[in-house]
Amino acid sequence: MPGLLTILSIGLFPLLFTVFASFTDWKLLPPSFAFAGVESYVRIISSREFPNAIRVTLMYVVGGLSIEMLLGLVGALLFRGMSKKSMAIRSLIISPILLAPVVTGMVWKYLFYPGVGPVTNLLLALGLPMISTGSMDTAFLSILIADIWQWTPLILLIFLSGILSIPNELFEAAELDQMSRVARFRYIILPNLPAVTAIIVLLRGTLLFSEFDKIFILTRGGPGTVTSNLVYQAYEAGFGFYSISDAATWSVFILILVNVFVFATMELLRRAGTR
Amino acid sequence: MKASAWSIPTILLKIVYAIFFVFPIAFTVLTSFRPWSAIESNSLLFIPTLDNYVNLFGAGLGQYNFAKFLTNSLIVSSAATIVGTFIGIPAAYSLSRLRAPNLGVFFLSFRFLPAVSVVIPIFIEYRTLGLLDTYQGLSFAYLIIVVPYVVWMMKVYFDEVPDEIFQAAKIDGYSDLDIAFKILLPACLPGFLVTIWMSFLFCWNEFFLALVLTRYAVQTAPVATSFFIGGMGRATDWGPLTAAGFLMSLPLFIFLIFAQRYFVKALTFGMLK
Repeated sequence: MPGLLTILSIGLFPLLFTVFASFTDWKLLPPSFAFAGVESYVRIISSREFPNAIRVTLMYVVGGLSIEMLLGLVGALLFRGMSKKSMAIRSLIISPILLAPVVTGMVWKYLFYPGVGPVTNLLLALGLPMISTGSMDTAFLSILIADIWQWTPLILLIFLSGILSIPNELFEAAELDQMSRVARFRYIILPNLPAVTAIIVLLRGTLLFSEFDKIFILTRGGPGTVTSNLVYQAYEAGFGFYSISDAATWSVFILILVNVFVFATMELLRRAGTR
Repeated sequence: MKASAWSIPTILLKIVYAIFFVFPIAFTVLTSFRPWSAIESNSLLFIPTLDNYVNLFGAGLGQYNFAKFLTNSLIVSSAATIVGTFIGIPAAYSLSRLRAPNLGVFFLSFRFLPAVSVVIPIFIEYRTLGLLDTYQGLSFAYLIIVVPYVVWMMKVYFDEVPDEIFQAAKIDGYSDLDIAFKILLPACLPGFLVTIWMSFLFCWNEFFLALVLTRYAVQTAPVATSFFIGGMGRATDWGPLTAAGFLMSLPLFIFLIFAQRYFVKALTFGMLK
């Protein structure tokens, strides 16, 4: 089966190779290669960057996922109309989804850019502090906003298809009982959403763990290492310092985190009784 | 949920919500037609100009030669999509119709693999084999994006084709490959087209692998764009940059117009319709 062969040669084999490389002291510049056991693990875990990278990664996953889900649910409730007009508005709202992450990063870098960025100008006009990709305090926020902007629409769509799959009789019964909007949300909509919620967590969570593009465009992991997540550290180690073993070790940490996350979510999916 | 139940706060909320998602793209497209003087002075009163596009495509000093990068993106994404589709369909077929071991989830799992965890070995192999910065090299690496997606999505679509059609073709003596390409594929043509288009978009938008595996010759549009920011020894040139962003997003707009109905299914890997 050529499909399987392809996957093995560019998927599984490199994966195992990465794990192997993490137990060496492999460097490209200056060239060195020897088996080194867990040396690079010890070095990375005891480094200052490690707790920071874990913190940034988790903040990104938790922050991104929770805000995107909240906004996505609100959006799904606001824009669930099925008229031509509603659908036209919806297709405008969801257009960020398929934008290249690089374009998204560029767009927000521009919007936040001091002097010419409209968002920065607006914030200053309102007397609010500006959000800058170059400041210690707001660099992380700028990336998070760009991510929320790009991916909330997808979550909106998924929640929407969850809401639309609820049998209409339930809403009609609620109408007869003169249920309030809040009660309708609490007792009809919310109980029908666990399955789609699990799908959202799985789809978005895994990608949030390995975010790289927007960080690269907006902040290059900086200032300092304020926005360097695990993936960015792996990139820096491998292609900034040419240390194959360190890059591989960082990657192994990402793999461990993502796998723990996926298994936890799968368990959630199983309990919600879906595929 | 009658329209009359809309209250003013709801409408306001809707407007704010819609502006947040639409404004960035709208303003970016607008800026791509603003002259530099208007961008610099934050002026919205301006005569639309194509200067930014001219600069973007010009190959002269201080210009961006963007056609080259767009062409690279087009070549690599198309090659990966075409090859990946031909590899993926027989696999999807065997997962769907032949009692092949249940490897569907195994395939799909590679779609979620962080690229960084496979890029190092690929980089080293490519360095040895001289595949860095070549069309073949990058397209081949992109198969890791295309193949799992095609296999999984086409399995989902194949599963929906009634079994009678498959049985009838079997009895008529069609070979498995013929059934896959000539019977099942036309039966789920819209899904197939969306799958191809999505595969293409994934490659078209891809950044990380392209950043690591190319230099200048095969540099793709996203990588080139990332280097335009603050590049070329001057303040960031937002005019051509926004123009580049707009051009790179055109494939997206085409998709939105023609294939909206299939959007959710394509993006949730068939978990939702």
